[in-house]
Amino acid sequence: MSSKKIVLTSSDGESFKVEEVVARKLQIVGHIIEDDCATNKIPIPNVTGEILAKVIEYCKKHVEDDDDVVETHESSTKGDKTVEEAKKKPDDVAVPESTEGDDEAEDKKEKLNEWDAKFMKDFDIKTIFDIILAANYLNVQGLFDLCSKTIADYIKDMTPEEVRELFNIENDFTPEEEEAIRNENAWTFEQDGKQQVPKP
Amino acid sequence: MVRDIVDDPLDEDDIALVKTYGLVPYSAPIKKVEKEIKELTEKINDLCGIKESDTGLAPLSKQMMQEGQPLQVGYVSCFRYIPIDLLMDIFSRVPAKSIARFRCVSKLWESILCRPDFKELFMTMSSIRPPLLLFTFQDDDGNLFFFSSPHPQIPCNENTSLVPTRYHVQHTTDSFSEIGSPLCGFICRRGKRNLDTMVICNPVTGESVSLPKVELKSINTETRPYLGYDPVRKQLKVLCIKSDDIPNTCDEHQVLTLENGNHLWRTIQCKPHYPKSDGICIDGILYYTAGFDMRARVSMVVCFDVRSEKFSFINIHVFMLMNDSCTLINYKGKLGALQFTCLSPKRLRFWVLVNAEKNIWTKCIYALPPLWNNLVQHTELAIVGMTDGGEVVLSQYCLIYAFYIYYFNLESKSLTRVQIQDVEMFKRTRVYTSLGYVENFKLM
Repeated sequence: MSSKKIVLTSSDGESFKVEEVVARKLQIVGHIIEDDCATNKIPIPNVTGEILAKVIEYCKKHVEDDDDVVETHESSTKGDKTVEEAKKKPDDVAVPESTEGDDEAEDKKEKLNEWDAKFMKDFDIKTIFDIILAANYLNVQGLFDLCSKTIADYIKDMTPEEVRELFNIENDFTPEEEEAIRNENAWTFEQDGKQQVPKP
Repeated sequence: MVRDIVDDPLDEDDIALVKTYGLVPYSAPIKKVEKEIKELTEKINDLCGIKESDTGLAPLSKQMMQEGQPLQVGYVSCFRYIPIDLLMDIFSRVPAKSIARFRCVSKLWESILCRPDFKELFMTMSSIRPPLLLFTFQDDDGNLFFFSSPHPQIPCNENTSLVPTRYHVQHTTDSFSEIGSPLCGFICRRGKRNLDTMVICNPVTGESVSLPKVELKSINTETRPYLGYDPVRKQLKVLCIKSDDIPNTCDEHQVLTLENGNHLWRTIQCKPHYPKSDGICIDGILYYTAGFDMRARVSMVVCFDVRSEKFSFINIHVFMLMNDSCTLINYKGKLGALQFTCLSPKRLRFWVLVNAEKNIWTKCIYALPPLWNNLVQHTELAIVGMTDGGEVVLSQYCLIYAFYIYYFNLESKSLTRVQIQDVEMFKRTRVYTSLGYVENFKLM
């Protein structure tokens, strides 16, 4: 692999020197490199330095993932979104499939998931939104999915009032309209009192 | 071109444009196009009834363009610029209960959550997630209650319990219903007395649709509906197997494709057989066990190709000792079967069909762990299926004092009991427990 360095410049002028293999994790950058449109300096005008630093940190950690890299000399396609389930096999069933390599890959994946969880824990919700917008723009699918899942877990037990406050959304329903929708979905409100889910 | 620009007096927009892009030959066309874009955007938003601030596509303000800075958002307003497709991605990762609740947030959110492409995305993402447990109860008035829950985190201690999500109540006129296995978020049920009527239910939306009545040639004809899914054409079909008291007389069965509004039965031919088990659908093939008639042993596994609507059969040899209580499972993409042995001591039989063409099964017998007697005692348990992690899931047939499900890990030989809470009002009612439930907002 080439040891070429790429300099990424954020919207506020901060520069990040990274290995080309890391820069390719940002697919939009990978395409620029692939098309030979660039020198070794690539501006990232829509992302601040603070957020770009986090994206690069994630890409460095996930540099060996297969799903995000622009394929050299081949058109890039998005991989399956299939989640790999843990595969335990009964001892006695005569369908041996596991190898040591599989176990090692499994262990590595688990450690990477732990790193992801720790990585996300440091951020407040505003920062996570900024990161997901950047991941969306730069086409870093793994980071996008990670942020989307984190936000989904954050909001999934919220009431409509809490969601409006978080997203700064105005309630443009009339009281009658809102009442009608609530009645139609009464089953989602009736158990709220019982399920005390602690919020992060 | 440049001379033309210089000759015209510069207005405020011209100045902003020059500051942002510099003076270039195409300044005038750029200015014109940007004006057209702005007008068209406003027109579209008026038609959609969408506020400019809701779409995340608001044009850059003049001030920002003058400053030559890309969009900077403060805390309060940053969430206004979330694109709709990103919102949809986030929504596709929350449970159905949250989706139903979020419809109250704003008119924009309600419109997003009701879009067909969002429902399709939600279905796709639900299918990727670990499937849910589904519990169905029917009370004495015939109402059906649906609850779902993610599987507990294994290993769990003996105090682990689950609080399931409760969905819409289905009101029926049948005092007893036969409930089939859920597939793609739908359930097919049939009244015990109305053998010609099948109803498709969606617990999440509360919708239920009665299918056209099935033609019955004899007063003794029985029916059993199965759901099958063709992953290539993404079609859900209902297969109705008919059988008669008199063996070898019923070779016509019916199939119906669940597409929006157009529900018509078609007749298909198959040799007479009597279905025994629930169906399981693996890669577009629907499997169920059957015998020659009601009283005969399991003699075959019926395979129905949902796309081509062709039947084939896997013969079950008498020495396999497969019987009516056998549960078919999806074992890593292969057809598997689980069954308790009849003789004491009670053990668990596990078959896997490793070669369908040559009808080769592997077979293992597992002794139940010592803890079984303490935890299960004399409760009769149904084999529900197997999780992706290799645990056999067992459930009570009937709720007596409290409702428990059991996880038997074949590899570690451990047995875990998990209590299902908030269902105490269903004492002495029949429970149908299913694995593989996927939440779905689609219509039928």
